[in-house]
Amino acid sequence: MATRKRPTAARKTSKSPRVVAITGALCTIGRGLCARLAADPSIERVVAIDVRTPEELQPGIHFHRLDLSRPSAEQELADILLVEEADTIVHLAYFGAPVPDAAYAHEVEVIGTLHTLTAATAAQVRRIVVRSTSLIYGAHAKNPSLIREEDRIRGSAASRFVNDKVEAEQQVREFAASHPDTQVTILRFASILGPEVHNVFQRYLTGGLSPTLAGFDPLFQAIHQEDAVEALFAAAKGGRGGVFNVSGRGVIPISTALELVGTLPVPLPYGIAGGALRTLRRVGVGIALPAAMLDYLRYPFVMDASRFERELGFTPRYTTLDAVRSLAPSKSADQQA
Amino acid sequence: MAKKPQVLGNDPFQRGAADRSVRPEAREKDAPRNEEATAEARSKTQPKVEAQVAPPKAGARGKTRSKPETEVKARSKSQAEAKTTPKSQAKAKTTPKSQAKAKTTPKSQAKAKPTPKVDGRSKPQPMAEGRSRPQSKAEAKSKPKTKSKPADMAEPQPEAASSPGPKLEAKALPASEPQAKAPSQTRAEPLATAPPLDHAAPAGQQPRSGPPASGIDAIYASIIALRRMLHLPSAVSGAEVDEFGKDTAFTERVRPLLDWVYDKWFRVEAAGFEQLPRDVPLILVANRAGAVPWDSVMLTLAAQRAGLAVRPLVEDSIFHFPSMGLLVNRLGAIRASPENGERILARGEAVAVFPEGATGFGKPFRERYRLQRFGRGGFIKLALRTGALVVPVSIVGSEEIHPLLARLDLRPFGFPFLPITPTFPWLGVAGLLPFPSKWRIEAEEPFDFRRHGPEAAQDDPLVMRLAEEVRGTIQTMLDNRLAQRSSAFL
Repeated sequence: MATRKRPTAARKTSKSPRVVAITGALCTIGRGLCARLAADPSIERVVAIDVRTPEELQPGIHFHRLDLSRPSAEQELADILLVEEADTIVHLAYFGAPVPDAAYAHEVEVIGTLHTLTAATAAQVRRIVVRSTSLIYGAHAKNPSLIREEDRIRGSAASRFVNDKVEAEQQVREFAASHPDTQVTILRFASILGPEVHNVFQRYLTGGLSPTLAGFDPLFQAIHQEDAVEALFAAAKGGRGGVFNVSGRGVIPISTALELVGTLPVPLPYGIAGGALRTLRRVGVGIALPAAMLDYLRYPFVMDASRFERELGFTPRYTTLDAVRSLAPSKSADQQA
Repeated sequence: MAKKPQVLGNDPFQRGAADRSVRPEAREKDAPRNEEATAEARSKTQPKVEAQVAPPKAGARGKTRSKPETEVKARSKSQAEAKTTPKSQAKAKTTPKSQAKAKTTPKSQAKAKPTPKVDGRSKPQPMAEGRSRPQSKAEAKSKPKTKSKPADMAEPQPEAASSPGPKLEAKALPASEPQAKAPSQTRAEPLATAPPLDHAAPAGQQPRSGPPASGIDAIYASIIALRRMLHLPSAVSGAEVDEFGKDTAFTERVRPLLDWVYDKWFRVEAAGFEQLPRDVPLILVANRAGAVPWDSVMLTLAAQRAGLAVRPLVEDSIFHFPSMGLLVNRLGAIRASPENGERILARGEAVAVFPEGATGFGKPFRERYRLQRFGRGGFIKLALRTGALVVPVSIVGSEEIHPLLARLDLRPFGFPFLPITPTFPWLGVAGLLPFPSKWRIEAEEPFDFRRHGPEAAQDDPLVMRLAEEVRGTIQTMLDNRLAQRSSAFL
C-alpha cells in the first residue's frame, strides 16, 4: 500500500496553500474549517461557498452563494475559483443525514461532486480535499474488525443515502486516477459527533428513544467535530494525497453510546424491526435512523484510522468516548431552552 | 514474526488509547478504594508472589529480558488479587442480601483498568504459565473455603503459598525446553501422544481437586453480567471494549461460570498446552462442532489456564445469530478473516481457528469427529505469511453436546438456519443447554512451515497440501482419543 502512495506524494508539491475554497462552508465542520484557515497567517484568503447565505460574515472570508445541484453550477464554481485564484478546494457539500427529497440529495451529492471536480480542473486547482464517510464501507458481518482504506466498499443494499455517498466517492477516486497532477485527498470520517453537529448518528444517539436490534450491539466509532476540522485542515495544508480513514481512537458498543447520551434503547427483533420502522415513518413518527440503515445497528463498521495519523502526523484530541460524551450536555441544554 | 514491530507500531490502540478512554472521574473514584484493597491484599499476597517469582528466575537463566517484566507482572497480579480478595471477604461477612452490592464493587475496579492485564498476557513469556497457574489455583482454593467456613480465611493462604514452589519447577521445566522434547515425539504413532498426556494429566485435574466456585455462585455473577449486557434495569453502565469487541470486565465476571462449566460440566482435561513455545506466534487449529461455540470458549480457557492468551477466530455465520455473536465477541472471539488473524498475531496473542468453518458449524450428528473440508486453507496462508507455528488441537467431547438432527432453513429471516437437536427448540432456551459430555482437549507438537517462506502463501497447491497434512494429523488425534474412551460421558 505504501508503495502505491509514495510516488504520488513525491511527485506532488506539498506546498502550503494560498487561497482555499470551501464548498458547503456553512455546515458546522465548514464553519469550523473557515475559522481555522482564516486564523492561519500563511493563508491569504478563505473562500466560503454555500447554498445558504450566512447571517454574519467573518472578516477575511469571501462568501459566494452557489447551488451545486444547478446545471450551471460547474461554470459558476469555475468562475469563482478563477476570480479568487483558489489553489485548494475543500469539498464538504454532503448531507449528514437522509433528507426527504432523495432526488435532490442525489443531485447535490453525486452531481455536485462531479461539478466540483470539473470546475477544479477548469480552474487548475492544485489540491482537492473531499469529505467522505465510514458509512460507505457498509455494515456487514464479513467486514474485518478494523477496516483498512483498501478494503472492499460494500455500501448499503437499501439505503440511497449511503449509496449516493459511495457513488460520489467513486467519482472522486476515478478523478484522482485520471488526474495525477492534482493532489486528491479523500477523508473517510467516522461518525462526526459534537454539540453542534447534525447527522444521522447524532440524531440516533440523541433521539431520546432509539430502536436497537435485540441481540446485536455493534461497536461504534466516532470523531469529535473539532478533530474533524483539524483533520480537514491538515489535509488542506498539504501532506499526501490518497484515501484516509479518520476517526477518534477507541471503540465502544453502541449500547454504551446510547447510555452515555441518556437515550433509551428499544430493542426490536431483527425480523420485524424494518417493517416496524417503515410503518412508524408512514404514520408520521420520525425515527432517527432510516429502516434502510438498520444493518448499521447489526454489524460493526469500525475503521483502522492509523494511516492518516501516521502519514499526516495527525493526532485526534478526543476519543470515541469523548465524542459521544460531548453529545450529552448539548442535549440537556436543548431541553432546558 | 518479521511483521510484528511494523504492525504493532501502527496500531492506534496500542499507544495509550485505551488509557485515555478510561474516564478520569472513574479512575479517581476507584483509586482510594483500590489502594486500600491492594495494600491489604499485598500484605497477604506479597510472600506468595515472591515465592512464585523466585523459581522462574532460577529456571530462566540467561533470559535477562524477562526479569523486569516479571516484576511488573507480579505487581499487576497482586492487584488482580486485590480484586478478588475483597469479594470473598465481603461475602464471608455480609448477609446474603447485601451480597449483590459487595459483588458490584470489584466490578467497577476491574473496569478501571482492564488493559494492563490483557497487555501482560499478550506477551507470551516462557514463564508466564508457571506463574499464572498457581495463582489461579490459589484463588480457586480460597474461594469455596471462605464460603463454607468464613472464619478460616487464613487457612488456604499458607497452603497455597507453599504449593507453587515444587509444582512450578515441574511445570516450568518442560516449558523452557520444548524443542528438546519435540523431536522425540513422532506424529503418526498413537503411543507418542501418551507421554504429554500423562505428564499434564495432574495439571488438568488440579482445579478439580478444589472446585473453583460453586455453580450457583458462578451463575449468579454471570446473570448480573449478562443483565448488564442486555441493558436490563439495575444494570451497571459503561462497557469498555477493545477494538475487536472483547469486554475484559465482562469476561472477568463471566469467568467463574465458564470455570465451573469447564471443571464440572464438561470436566475438561487439557494436555499439551504447557509444552507450546511462547516466543513465536501460534495458530491453534481444532475441530469444530455445534451451533453454540462452546468448543472455542473451552479451548480458550484451556490455553488460558496454561498461560497462553488465545483469541478464537469464528466463522461469520455466528454473527448473524442474535445474542450469540454478541456474546462470543465480548468474550474475545472475532470473525475469521486474514486481516483479523494478522492483527491478533501482531498483538502477540495466539489465534484459534476452526477451519471446518460453516460446514463444521452445521455438522450433522452422524458426521461427528469426521473432519470436514478445511476451507480454502486460509490458516495455512496466515501461518506462511506471519511465520506462525500451526498447533494441531483435537477436542473430543464437543461434538456430542448438541446432536444436530436437522437444520431448518431460516435464510428468508436473515439467519443461516435453525438447528434442530433432541432438546432444541422443543425446550426453548433450556434446550440450548449442552449435554454434559466428557471433554479432552489436546495440543500436539506444532507444525513449522517457516521453511517454505512467506511467498509460499501464493502457492495454492502447496497450501492445500499443508492444510490436508494438518487435517490428517487432527483426524488421527481424534481417532486415537475416540478409540481410548469408553463413553462420551466418562
